[in-house]
Amino acid sequence: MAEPSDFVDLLKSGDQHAFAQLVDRYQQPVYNTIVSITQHAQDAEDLAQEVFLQVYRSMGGFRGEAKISTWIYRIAVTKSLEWERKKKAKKAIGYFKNLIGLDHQADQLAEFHHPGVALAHKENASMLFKAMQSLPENQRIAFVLIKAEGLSYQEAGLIMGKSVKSMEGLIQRAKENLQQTLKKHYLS
Amino acid sequence: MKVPVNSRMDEVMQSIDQMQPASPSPHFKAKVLNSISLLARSEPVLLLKPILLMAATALLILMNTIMLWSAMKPSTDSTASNEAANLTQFSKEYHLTNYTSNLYDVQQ
Repeated sequence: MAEPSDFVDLLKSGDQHAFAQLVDRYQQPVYNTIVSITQHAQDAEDLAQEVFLQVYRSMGGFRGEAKISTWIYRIAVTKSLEWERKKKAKKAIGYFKNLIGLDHQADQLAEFHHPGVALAHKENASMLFKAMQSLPENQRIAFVLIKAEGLSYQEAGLIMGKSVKSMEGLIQRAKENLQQTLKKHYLS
Repeated sequence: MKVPVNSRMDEVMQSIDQMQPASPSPHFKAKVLNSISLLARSEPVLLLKPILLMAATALLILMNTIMLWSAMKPSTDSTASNEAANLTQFSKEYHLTNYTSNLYDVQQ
């Protein structure tokens, strides 16, 4: 989705109308990417809002070397990973508190239901998202961008800074790992 | 009837292909635009803040320098003026006006 240069100029000048158009165009892909990575519907909306605020603040520095969509996806992925790291740190502190008896509430991971999944596939999709949590970070991001967001290998590669061949390798390994995790689950 | 593991796995793997993209809540866009307009309004103040801080620091340094300079200057001045006063007194007493003024010039 190439953006005309005058549209980019309007965004750079802080034009609110142009920004409304940008939000209209990207709210769904940004939210879908974030919710698929974080697996947390409420926080995903807050993070998506942060992505657009970041885009607004950093628009002056956008040099147009990449497409706006690639740039926005990159910010969305980065914000999601930052959120995950903070959550992991909080979880570690919670675990430690629990260990020394300061906090008796164990942090339980709630079962995630992707908002875009039809009722008939809810159980399967939930199982898949649970298995995705065990994937290494780059395999999981590649899987989300290509499988959940429906981007091409090339587009996803530009977002992750990898070649098409690397992306193909990541997806192949992600599929193999997911199959192994699911096999273990069903055979246990 | 027991479903084979492989076909169960395939069903799970294929579930992502049947997924629709998720959308945020209907008021999401309004929330974002509202935050952006708030940010746009607060931006000049945010930009002004470091400038004001820098100006205040520069003013503080300037005032400090002036105070230091003025604290040092009166002592040298007073010595010079005392010496000049003594010489004037001396010259008056001994009628050596030209001599003292020359001496004063040398002091200066």
